[in-house]
Amino acid sequence: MLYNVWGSVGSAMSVRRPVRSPLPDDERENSDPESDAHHYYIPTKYDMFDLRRSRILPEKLFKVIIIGDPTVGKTSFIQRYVQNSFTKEYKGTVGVDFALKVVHWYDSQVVKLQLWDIAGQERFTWMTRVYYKDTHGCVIMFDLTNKNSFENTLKWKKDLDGKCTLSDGSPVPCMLLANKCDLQDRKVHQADIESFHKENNFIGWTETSAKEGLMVNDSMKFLIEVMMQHEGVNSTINHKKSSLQLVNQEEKKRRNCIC
Amino acid sequence: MSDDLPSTYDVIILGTGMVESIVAAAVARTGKKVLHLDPNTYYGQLWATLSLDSFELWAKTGTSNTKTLKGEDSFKSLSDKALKYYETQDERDCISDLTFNWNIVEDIPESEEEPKEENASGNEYSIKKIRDVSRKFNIDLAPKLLFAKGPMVEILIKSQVSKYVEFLNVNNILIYIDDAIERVPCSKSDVFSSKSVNVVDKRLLMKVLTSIQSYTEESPFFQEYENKTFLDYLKANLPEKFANFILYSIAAGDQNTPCLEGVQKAKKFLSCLGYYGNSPFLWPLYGSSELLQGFCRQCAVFSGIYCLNREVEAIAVEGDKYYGCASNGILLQSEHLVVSNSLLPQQFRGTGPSVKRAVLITDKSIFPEGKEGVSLLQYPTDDSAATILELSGNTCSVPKGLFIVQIVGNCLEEAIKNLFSEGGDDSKPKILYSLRFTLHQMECTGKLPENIHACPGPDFATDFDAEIRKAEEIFKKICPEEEFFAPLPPEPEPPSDEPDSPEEATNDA
Ligand SMILES: Nc1nc2c(ncn2[C@@H]2O[C@H](COP(=O)(O)OP(=O)(O)OP(=O)(O)O)[C@@H](O)[C@H]2O)c(=O)[nH]1
Ligand SMILES: [Mg+2]
Repeated sequence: MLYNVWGSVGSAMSVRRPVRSPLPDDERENSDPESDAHHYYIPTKYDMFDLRRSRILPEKLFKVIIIGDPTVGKTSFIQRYVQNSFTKEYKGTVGVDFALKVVHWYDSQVVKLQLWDIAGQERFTWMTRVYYKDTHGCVIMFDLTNKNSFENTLKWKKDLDGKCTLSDGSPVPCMLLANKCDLQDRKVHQADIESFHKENNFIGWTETSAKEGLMVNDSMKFLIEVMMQHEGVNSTINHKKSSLQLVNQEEKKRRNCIC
Repeated sequence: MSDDLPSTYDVIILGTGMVESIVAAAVARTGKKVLHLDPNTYYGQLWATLSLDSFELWAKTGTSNTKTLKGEDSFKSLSDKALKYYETQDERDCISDLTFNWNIVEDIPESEEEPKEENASGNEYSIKKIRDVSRKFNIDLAPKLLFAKGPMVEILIKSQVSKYVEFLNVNNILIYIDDAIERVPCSKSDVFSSKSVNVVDKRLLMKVLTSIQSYTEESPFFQEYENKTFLDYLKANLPEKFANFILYSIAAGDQNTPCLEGVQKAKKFLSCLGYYGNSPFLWPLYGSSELLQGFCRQCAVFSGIYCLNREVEAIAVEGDKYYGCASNGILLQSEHLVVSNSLLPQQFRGTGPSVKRAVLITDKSIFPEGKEGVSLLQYPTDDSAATILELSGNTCSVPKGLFIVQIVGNCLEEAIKNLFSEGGDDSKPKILYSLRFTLHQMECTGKLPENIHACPGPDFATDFDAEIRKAEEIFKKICPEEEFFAPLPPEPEPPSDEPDSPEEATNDA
């Protein structure tokens, strides 16, 4: 399996030796988008590295949804990732579907991430299909100090897979995050998470702490990498949409005038 | 299930039907605190869109009302106040005479599959094979279309809920006439370019379409038909075939439709042409319930709390005012209650009109020469008409190669008999699966406390006009000062951070 390298990282706390990539060392260092990051994951194709020589790449937009039981730390995780901050009472922005994070990926590629939070919606694992729709990647989160939230991740995964797939019909790549690893009072064993994530086709898992900012960037980096790979496969098929999106006719006219 | 729900709200909404969901979004946008509950594990109640598995389960549970009343005394301990408790009822009461059956073999053993290949189409399907792709089905319990210029489209755009939903044009408008299916020329340009209409008829048709389009309240043109039917008017001006085209397909009427009503409906149809292709109707990809899910998502984005699989056992009333909802051993309190008619306590619920419905899975289109997509067929009979909606693979409602057929109308058996085959006749689409039931509309009959707002379930109209009107009416009662879906202030640019280490970007520039 492709993603096991990272999937078996196991503990966020243990410092991992970077996995060597087949690129020359100096080149890899330059291309590293985040200085603190390690390569936990080896892409099999290196289109990205080749493409970057052509300099101007169209920016990529990915929709990432974050699901899991109440209070596991989904909103805190997004806040940490997007604003690099943590406040105990942060509740997300009312009236906005997603937070936006712009990542410079290997110098030449701009990746925009829409991070969709479940916004008070769906306390108990039955989401609207419109929330899942057109998603490129998914984070399913549980709280290490709450065993029930771990068990429910399977319900979340089933709800997602039942309502949504990638455009080529394959399951949405799904990463399992064990949050609040800064706390002492753990209720879930690493070995259980390890076997659970394999059995249920998660692309990988790691412990995180939104509070301390542990493995927040690294985990998202891993997910981006997987999504970039899928994107490479899917864009060759080039799905042309024949569906209509409703627009305000007046506004459309106005916009056309300006151009 | 843990009970960590807050106990007070501005508005509690019970049921995730279309009207309830529109109200939920509208009210939440004004800043009110909303709790939205549904006894089912899916959205939409009788408006739901279900995968094949869930659909079959829904059918199997059928009309069985599982609700057992507990008696008022069992709620007395919830509060010290002098409250009267009214127990809610089961939406299953809206369904009767439900039957379903598969018309294909259970399974095809692997080894037999090869030699059977040369058999005619339809034979290669087995129940197992179709169930294996259950998730590729999105079957509507109450499919409805949108008028391209109708109130639903207007509200979707105004609310920006439109961003959650994509649409297809209903690309085949058809009618069953003289034992055959024909395409209806909808617009004047259709008539103009139609090869099946001769020159004389073209002129007559154009003239009628023009007078319908230019109709206003004051126009004297139709006055002599004031007390006559639309059909009277049409027959006086057109050959019978074209009169039927306009009556059934364009005005969605029947023999008894009064002239002015028919003119207004036909005018509306014609005024919706040309906005999204050459058809007045839109169909939501993945099914009608995408719309209500879009409104629910918006409510959630405005801090509404959602809890499915959650029942309200009783509605508590204090004096002549609604007080709260007894649910799962606690009392949830709110200023207003919005509730689906189908769940109303028996003191307030009555049974209204009903209609027959059928859902078929077939192996061929009723109109193979048409464009792939969504077809709307009117099937008039001597005393009423059936409306038939056919969805193909590109609607995301059914796997490629199969079709979902939704039929509404009391004469549906006749339509099914003439349009489909149960096997044998290869010229017609074969029915692989069929489900039939009668859908009853529930009505609010008693006098509800002023702060309870009851919402109708699916009616039998093709569009959502009535639902939007009802939602706005309820909204005005809860928020009398506010505009219905007032435009939002422009979205603040979401925080878009530069990369954590900006020097990265300029590294080798
Ligand atoms: N110790 C610790 N606390 C955390 C961490 N992440 C979140 N929390 C706390 O957990 C509580 C819930 O966090 P939220 O981010 O609101 O959780 P959520 O998953 O968004 O919850 P809902 O929006 O209710 O579904 C808050 O009090 C956070 O401060 C973490 O990594 N460590
Ligand atoms: Mg949250």
